[in-house]
Amino acid sequence: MNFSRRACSAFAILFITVLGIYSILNFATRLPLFQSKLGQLSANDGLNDVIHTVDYVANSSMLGGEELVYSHSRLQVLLGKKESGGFEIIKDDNGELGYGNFYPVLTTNTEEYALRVRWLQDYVSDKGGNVIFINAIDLFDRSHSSYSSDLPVNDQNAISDAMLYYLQSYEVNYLDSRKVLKESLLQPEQYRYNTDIHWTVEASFEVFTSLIEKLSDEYDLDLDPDSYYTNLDNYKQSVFPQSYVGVLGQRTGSPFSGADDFIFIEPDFQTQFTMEYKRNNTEYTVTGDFNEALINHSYWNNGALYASYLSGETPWKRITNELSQDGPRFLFICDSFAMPMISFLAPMASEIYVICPLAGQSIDVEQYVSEFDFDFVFVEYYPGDMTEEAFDFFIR
Amino acid sequence: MQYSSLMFIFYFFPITVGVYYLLRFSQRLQNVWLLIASLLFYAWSGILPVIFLLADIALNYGMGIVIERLQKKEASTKPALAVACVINLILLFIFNYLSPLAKGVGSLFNLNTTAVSSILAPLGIALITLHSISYLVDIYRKDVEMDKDPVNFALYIIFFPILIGGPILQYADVVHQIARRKATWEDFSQGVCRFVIGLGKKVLIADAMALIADHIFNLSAMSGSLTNVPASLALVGLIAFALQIYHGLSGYSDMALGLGRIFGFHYRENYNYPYAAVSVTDFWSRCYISLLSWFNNYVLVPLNGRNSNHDHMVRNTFVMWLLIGLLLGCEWTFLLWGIWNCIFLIFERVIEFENMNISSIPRRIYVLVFMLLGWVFYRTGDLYQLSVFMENLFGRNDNGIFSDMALMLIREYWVVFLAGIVFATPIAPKLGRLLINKQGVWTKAFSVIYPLLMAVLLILVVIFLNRSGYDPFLKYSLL
Repeated sequence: MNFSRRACSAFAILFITVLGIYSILNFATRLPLFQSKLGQLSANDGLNDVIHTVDYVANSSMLGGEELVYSHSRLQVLLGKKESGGFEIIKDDNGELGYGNFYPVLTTNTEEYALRVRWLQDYVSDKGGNVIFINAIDLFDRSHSSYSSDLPVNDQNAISDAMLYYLQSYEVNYLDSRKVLKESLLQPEQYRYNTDIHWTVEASFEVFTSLIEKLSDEYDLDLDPDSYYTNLDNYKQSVFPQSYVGVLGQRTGSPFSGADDFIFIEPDFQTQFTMEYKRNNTEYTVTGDFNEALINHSYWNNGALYASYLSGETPWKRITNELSQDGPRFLFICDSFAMPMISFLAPMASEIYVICPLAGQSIDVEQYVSEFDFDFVFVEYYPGDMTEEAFDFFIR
Repeated sequence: MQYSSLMFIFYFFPITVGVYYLLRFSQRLQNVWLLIASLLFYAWSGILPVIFLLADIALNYGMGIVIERLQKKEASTKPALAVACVINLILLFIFNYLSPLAKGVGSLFNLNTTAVSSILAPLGIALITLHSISYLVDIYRKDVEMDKDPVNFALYIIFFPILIGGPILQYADVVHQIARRKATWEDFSQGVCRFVIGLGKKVLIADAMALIADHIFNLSAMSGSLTNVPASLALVGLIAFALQIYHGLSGYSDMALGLGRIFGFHYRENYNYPYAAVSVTDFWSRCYISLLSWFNNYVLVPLNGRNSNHDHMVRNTFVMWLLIGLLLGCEWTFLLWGIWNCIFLIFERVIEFENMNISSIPRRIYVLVFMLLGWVFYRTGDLYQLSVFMENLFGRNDNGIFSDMALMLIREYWVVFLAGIVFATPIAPKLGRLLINKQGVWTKAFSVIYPLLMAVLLILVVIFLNRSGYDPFLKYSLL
């Protein structure tokens, strides 16, 4: 038994040494975070809130946390796994990530959401405006995604189908991006990232051109009579090869997810904007051309290339086109998918308001539509975001 | 707070152990420190439960004094003991059963019972009740003298290593350890190893198996209208649950024993590879030993009395298992689980199964089938889900046998299934003993490889803890 004791002793020495040093370093580096989070508590918060805050910081932030995620990801690859996080994220045969779901997708509330969009349309049309719903693509595409084993796929297309069906029943106009992209020249692998939930910027541009076409065909609003703004040749494209790891990839770690090529598209013509936006109760104002005002380059340092368009999903933002005061005024009620599309639309509008109900801060949509006259209100969501919070307006 | 959380491992544990050893010069200060740490640990579940807990400790401590004083006066102590036990049981009833009962009555008679049904049970209330009753009965029986130090008594009731998953202590066993103990380096090193092994079982095996079990049992709950669960999938879910519950419970127990050892406490083993049992009687002598030992000592022994016959044995075993079922929670399925166990135990006793000449393989298969079916009662939560899952398991729900999903789950988690099955048997300790006893190069290799393996295990635990905050254990803890 001597050897057994010696073995345990050796491990115990290793354990207390490493644990002691690591715990001290971990605490020292997390101290500012503890101070900041505890500082956010108000005088009304009790001891339970203090405990909750300490627990949250301690469990959610660790020294070397990213390396641990990376190691976890490596392990998943070594074990030949096709799922991560207990089937939260699954990988198809093409290496594309998607959400997993064991349970049937329910579409029960879509009729109610469609009805709210209809009521929004009634209100806006009384003031001379129009409403269009834009359905963003789901991660899962039956014709493209391929799962050789019976992984639990989260196919949310039924939600989109139900939503569009009810919108049609309530006579609300919509644009189904699934159809748009299928009919485009883009290949399925070009309109999705492997590591992200969003459509690609190229796909977003494609939907944008389709929207301009729809406005022209169905509403006589010809925003691009010379087909200048909708011509990709008038845009600069920068390719960042294998440098984008989207939200799914960040969760699984890059060894499991791989990385995507990212094509950044920006106008190659003169632009001038002012963008005001709100994040964490702080208001920001940025002025300059497309690249200066609408792209947040600080995001690039974190690899958040997609979110750099319009600084990602924020509760509220307003984009003023300094070069066109006479263009139409738009309101977007949307999720993060819409950001590149809105940026491409900005040169053709005088003003665009953007409200993201899912960005964590409640904004009163009804107040906005009553205060301002919008030529068009666009409601855009991907099926996974079609939730009660997303349609928190015109509840009757 | 959970033992298997980053908060515990990197903040609570090092500070508690560090200060504890700094106070080596005074056992009393060490106990005061452990009590403070235990209260802080408990406060993680809310401040209100701490207040309740302190009141409960004061009440039981006071009742202990009353019983002892009555003994000194040679007055009858039975009424005092009865009152104290009834108060403890009433508190347990209020916290464990009132809320679900109120919900049931409310929905039956369409009454608003929100005020009652929102009562939340304090962490470890059943365990605290059992500890309190053991304390009162041991003093009443004069098995041990009462420790007058309220700090020591409070520590016995809520010492944080045992608060979540046991083992259930009996006052007479530990009172002397609380007052006088010495933590040696060997205690510390063995405790650390045991703690890390427990963490590994809980985080790497039990949590992964819980994900699979939860998905399949949830699918079964939906089956019929929206989806169906083929028999092979139900079986995979059941095996996953069996591995989850064993590695979860024994993992917590290992952590508790390891932590206790670090502070110089020597608790009795709580698990001894129950899935390797050769009879149901053997199974329950290896599984949650402290629970059965407690019920033997405080329920079965008084019920049996001096003149016990077969009829008494049957009746008393039934009562004991009914109480164990009740203790688990306010669900019919728990009662059925208790009865299920009771029937097999009585049956084996009556036919003297232990003495029958049956080889070990059919015996083990019989125990595994018994155990797996028993876990269906335990896991399903209500009678309707129980019947649906049983129908799925036996292919009686138009659900078919074969399932691609079952194969997929096994393929994705084969390493965990394999580790879960291997470590549920005594293969690993037997191999370890073999290497140690063999002497020579193997023994030396063991003393080098073992710390490395433990280090790898700890790193894996931290990697997985950093990825998930899922703890299904508390929901399916035996107590």
